[in-house]
Amino acid sequence: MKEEYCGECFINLYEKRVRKSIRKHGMIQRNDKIALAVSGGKDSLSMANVLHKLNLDVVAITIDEGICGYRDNSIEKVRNFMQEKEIPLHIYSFKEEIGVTVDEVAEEHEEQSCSYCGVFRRKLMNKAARELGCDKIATGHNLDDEVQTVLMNLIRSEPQRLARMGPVTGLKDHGKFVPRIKPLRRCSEKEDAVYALVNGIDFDDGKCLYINSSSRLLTRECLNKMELENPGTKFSILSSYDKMLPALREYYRGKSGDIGECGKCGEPTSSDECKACRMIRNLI
Amino acid sequence: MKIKIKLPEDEKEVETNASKVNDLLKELGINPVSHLAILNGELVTEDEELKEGDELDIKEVVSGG
Repeated sequence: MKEEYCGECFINLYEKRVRKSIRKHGMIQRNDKIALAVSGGKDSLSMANVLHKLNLDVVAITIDEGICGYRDNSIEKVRNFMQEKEIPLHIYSFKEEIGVTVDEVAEEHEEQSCSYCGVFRRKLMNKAARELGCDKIATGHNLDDEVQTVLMNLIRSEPQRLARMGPVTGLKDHGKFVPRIKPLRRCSEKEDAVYALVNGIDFDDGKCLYINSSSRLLTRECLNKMELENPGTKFSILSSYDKMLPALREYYRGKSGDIGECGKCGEPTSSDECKACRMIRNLI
Repeated sequence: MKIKIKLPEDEKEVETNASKVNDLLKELGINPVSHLAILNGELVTEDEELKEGDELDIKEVVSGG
């Protein structure tokens, strides 16, 4: 008997799971304008495809970190996809908005380039979404990403980070802060790839030149081995985390300071100067 | 039977008794949780049966960063 993927059945199951996640966690409210954070990879383009099919008010945002030979390829894939779906695309670049590219950061700080990139990207995505009048930022974080992060935060003994992550991010509200939502958090990395393939989505499968998170790679490998031996392990970890999240949020909400604005750039932060501005100062 | 396999950094022909894709991946020490199997150009599940002369392309599912 032929055991190829039944495209239609798989698509229906996958999309149903995404819709269920959105509903269960109240990710999207009526009349919300959603910023689709897209990189051109399988996860973000699959996420964009599902949300587009839900007839939501969406715009796409791509961050160009300035990584020659990597991001230029994936941006092309994003452009083609958004053109076909008639979704407005806005590209924000590190060079123009932050003043420095990741290639330039890596010249002197290659080992920390992922940290710089992550902080700058989150800041710029928040700013872009706010400027475009969006209520939420939808990212392509999948089940694997989410469970790896839960475990890594436990291993590093950073439970306060567990309180900030989750299906809708953020501990406290602030007028300038646009919450991030993760519609694919119950879809595995492999399912995202299958969904993209059976839908004929042309995605970029390149790897960033500076990827160096050995602890994430080790966590990923361990989890995949556990999943093979005990199918359902990743779902169990995520479900347990979801049950603990309300208590974690309640506890850390009382302990964290109020969100104010960065004295330099005006972006939301819990200290006088945001992390991105502190990092930029260290680069000079 | 002989199966032609294509891995990200290798291409070879293997002699195997594996009857299904899953068994062959196991023989090769490849985790199906993080790999896609494309048999004779078609994306298949790991339960797909193998036959002499098949071409199996094994792709690792990775995130860009």
